[in-house]
Amino acid sequence: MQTKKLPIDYTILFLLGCFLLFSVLAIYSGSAQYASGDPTFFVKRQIVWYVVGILVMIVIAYVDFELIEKWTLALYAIGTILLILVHFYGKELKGAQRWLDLGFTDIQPSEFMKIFLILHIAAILNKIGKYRLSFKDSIWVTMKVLFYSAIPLYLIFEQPDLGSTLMIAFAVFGLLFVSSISIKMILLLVSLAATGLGTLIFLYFHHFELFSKVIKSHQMPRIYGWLNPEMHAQGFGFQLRQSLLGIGSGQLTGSGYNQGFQVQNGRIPEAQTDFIFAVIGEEFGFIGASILVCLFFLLIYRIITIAFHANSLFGVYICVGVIGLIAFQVFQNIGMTIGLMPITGLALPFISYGGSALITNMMALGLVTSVHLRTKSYMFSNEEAIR
Amino acid sequence: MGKTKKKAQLPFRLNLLFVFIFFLFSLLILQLGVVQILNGEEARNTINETENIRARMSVPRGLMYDRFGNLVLDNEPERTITYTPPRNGDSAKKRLEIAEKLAEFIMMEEEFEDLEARVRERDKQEYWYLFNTQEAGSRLTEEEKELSAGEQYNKMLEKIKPEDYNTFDWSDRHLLNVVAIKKELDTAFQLSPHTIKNENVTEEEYALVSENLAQLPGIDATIDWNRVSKYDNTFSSFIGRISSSNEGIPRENRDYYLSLGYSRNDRVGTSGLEQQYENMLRGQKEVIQYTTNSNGTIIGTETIVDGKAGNDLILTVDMELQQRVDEIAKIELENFINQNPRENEYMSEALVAMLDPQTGEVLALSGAHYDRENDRYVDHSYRVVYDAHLPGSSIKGATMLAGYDANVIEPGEIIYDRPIRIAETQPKSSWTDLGRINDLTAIEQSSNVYMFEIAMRLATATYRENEPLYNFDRDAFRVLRNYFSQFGLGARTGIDLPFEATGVIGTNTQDGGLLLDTAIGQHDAYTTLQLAQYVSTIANDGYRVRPHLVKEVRQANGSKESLGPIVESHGRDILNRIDMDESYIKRVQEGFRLVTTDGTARGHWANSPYNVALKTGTAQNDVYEDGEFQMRTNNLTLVGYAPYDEPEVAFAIVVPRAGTGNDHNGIHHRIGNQIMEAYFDLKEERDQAGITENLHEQIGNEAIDSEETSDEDQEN
Repeated sequence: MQTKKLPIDYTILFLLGCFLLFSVLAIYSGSAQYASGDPTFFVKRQIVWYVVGILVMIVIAYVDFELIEKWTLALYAIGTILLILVHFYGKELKGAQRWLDLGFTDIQPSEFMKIFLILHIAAILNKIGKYRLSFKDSIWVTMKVLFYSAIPLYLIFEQPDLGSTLMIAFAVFGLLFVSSISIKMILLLVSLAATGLGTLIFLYFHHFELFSKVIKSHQMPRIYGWLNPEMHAQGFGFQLRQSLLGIGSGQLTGSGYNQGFQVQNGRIPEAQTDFIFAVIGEEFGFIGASILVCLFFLLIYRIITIAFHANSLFGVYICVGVIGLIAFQVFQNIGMTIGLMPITGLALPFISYGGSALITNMMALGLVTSVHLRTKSYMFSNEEAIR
Repeated sequence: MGKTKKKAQLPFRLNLLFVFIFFLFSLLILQLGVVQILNGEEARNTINETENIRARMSVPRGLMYDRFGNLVLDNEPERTITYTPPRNGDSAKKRLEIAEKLAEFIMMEEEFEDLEARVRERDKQEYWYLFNTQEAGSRLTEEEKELSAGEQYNKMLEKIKPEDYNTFDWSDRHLLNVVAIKKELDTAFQLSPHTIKNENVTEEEYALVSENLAQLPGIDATIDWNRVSKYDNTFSSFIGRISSSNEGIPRENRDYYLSLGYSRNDRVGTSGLEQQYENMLRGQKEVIQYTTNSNGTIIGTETIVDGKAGNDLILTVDMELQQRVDEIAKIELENFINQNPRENEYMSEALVAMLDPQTGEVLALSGAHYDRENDRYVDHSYRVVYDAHLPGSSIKGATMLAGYDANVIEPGEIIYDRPIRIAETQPKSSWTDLGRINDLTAIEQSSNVYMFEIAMRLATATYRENEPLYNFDRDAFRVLRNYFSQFGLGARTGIDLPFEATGVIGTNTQDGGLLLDTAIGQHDAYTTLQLAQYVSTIANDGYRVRPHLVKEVRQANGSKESLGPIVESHGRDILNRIDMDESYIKRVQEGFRLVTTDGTARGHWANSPYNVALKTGTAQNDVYEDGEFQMRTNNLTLVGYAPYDEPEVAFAIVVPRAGTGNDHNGIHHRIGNQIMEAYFDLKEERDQAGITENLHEQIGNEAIDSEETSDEDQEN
């Protein structure tokens, strides 16, 4: 590693530059509906968050990720304690209890917990080595992973924050999938998940009182709205329908910057945060939207490449976890604006306005950069490179 | 075996994960293609389509004419300044600009206090906010900045304190005026004209605004309509009123009106005929559809529904007669009070109802009222329909007919008129002991005892002097009242007004003496209109017709000189036919006629040339105040019709709480004589001048004819 150079992966930095451009343009356009205040209010703050985020990324990239491995359990414990504190003393905003008031600022422990949990699971999986385990040998380690995941997942689910819960679950599953655990175990897990979902649907139709204990009442309208936006044209169906109309009307080339009818007339709710993709879809059209999706894909491609070349298994798992987090967020967020997924509160990473999520994602990229910079040799074949 | 098992599978699974993510992202792009390319055109059209905005334009409300086609209620133009916001409205800054400009031309209130009263604290906060948006925004906490726009705005206003907005000089008339105008501009809805000022817009203001319309986007100087009575206050309480555009539709019935397509600031009838015939008078608003492109510019207009002015009402009332009757009632009341102020201390009203007994058309409803506190005479004609009074003997015609029909007496039957003494009750007698009298004399001389006999027989009671009534059947109360209600006494008359009182009917059926009182009009109380319907029913050979104020509904034809085609015609509406032999009714009619020639009213009516048949009534109505007896007074009543053989006018007169000395130089007789004179004089004048009711009539006859045939069906 060349110490004189800044610990930066320039591909990632270039992609971040593109994201920043998209983000700033879309936030400016999306917040124009709040003409009463300063139209650049959100834009200015987003730029500040970007600068802070990139600094955080660089700082984390300096740290040798291998050193972190010894500390993952401690980090995990801290995160869990914070989540428990939130559970009892957290601050409630918009119907969810997700924040801890530190006096000078609020923090959202679930954001950090995503990273801590992935690090810890990566450490656990790292211990079992790179060779395929038998089904029997897989049981113990799988139980361990599920146990460590279950606690934060439950606490976050209870906040309630279904979006983040699913996102973490997806990342954990990604990790299990690429690990050395027996394929039979993976299939078992998949079928268990499928059974769980099937049971939920069964409960919904036949034992609603049990169902409503699992799925919070505020979540159902989102699902109804997603299943039939025309019929539920008032609530979440309304959001989805307005978003679909806006994105649709962008057609191939878009309505033009600051020209989107739906966006500029305030018909897209939360246009600078959750529904920012609707701004991009409407004003930049299919071309602009596809370019953004491709940029995300390039980011994931870049991280996968780093994972392939990494000569530390722990590093690979970190990369996979980060891929899981980012890919799920992107798919979920964009999917919900175009009717592929139900509406949740997940933001579009790197694009939506909001500091906490941005910093977390930057931390994740910082870890990836650290893995990349500490990949010492490119001489071996992939298989050999991994210890 | 062990070798294969120990194979590193990571690259393979990593590839698989990558492929899976590639698949997910492809799905996104595919769906984007579906939404934007395949369905994009449709989405764009949907957005454009929803930008058709409909605006409703008011139409003039229907007018009212009297039965001779004289205009009673007119719409008068009123200068109005309106504001019509563009599609999606003007921004607050823009509205302030307009308000500042407009304030140079119009003044919202002349008086400083009124102007000040229009401007509330919130208006001041909003005004300050416009100039200090940044400052207000900076007062929000980080959390509040995450709120929705509307919540943020309210939070910001909350944080604007008096020391902020008092930096403006709120004693400045011009500033107050600007803010008062802006307040009106703020409440306007896109593309719908909103009234900014319509009262007391001076000619100068109107001209100034008109000249400067180019500088005032959305502002217009137009004409609104105001209801103006052509006969001042005459009949105004029955015509009723409509709400102002500030009051809009009545709050308590908002949903009802909205469901009928009213807007919140629509003017609707809130009393009298204006309310009763709201659906006729309102007309149909013109609906214009503006098509706007996504920038909000109007690219096309289309009339969806043609506007239709409200229908006109032709009243049954003869306004000239109404005026004369009003005057007669007022002058007589005034004279009697002035002549005998002490004795008439509690007399304060003279109520008159005049109907055409054949058709039920109301000719005049008058109510003179003396306002003792301010010593002035005012029009309270609504009391004819609202106030119930003890009628006294006027209703004996109904009692007599009840007796015939229940077969407790026969025409010509003789009864010995002597005081009736029931144990533990005051003796009950006629005004003088009349001795042996038959039914005709009983009416002519207004025998109470004859009526008591009928009542006691209805109750199958056994009367022995100075003993209680034995075998008294309490059901007789119901039976007698049932007969009475067939004449409209104690029942709804069915008049076309939103409200009418149905009288005060006693509930005590324990005391048999009360049945006797009821039989002579000393127990149940009725409205003047009910009495008029009762006497009309007798005049009309037993047909009870519904009194009505509106004769016809006609389409507006844009001219006040001629009437448009008939929309609806209200002819004779028979509510019921008295269920008894016609000869009985003839007998009572004869009795009523005798009252004027030989009976109780001879002194006042013997010389009347109009062949009047009538019945007098004097009900004792002692005045108590705080439970303490003050004075004996009488309700003086008179019901009658003329001419005797072919009745064309029926009337009821009620003068409550007249001094007891007035009975024999009776105010009611004087009023009665004069209104008959007024009626027949006017009739003669009109005959000579060739004025007929159907002056404007060309098309209407057929409708009325068909109405009459249907009546005959009912008779059979």
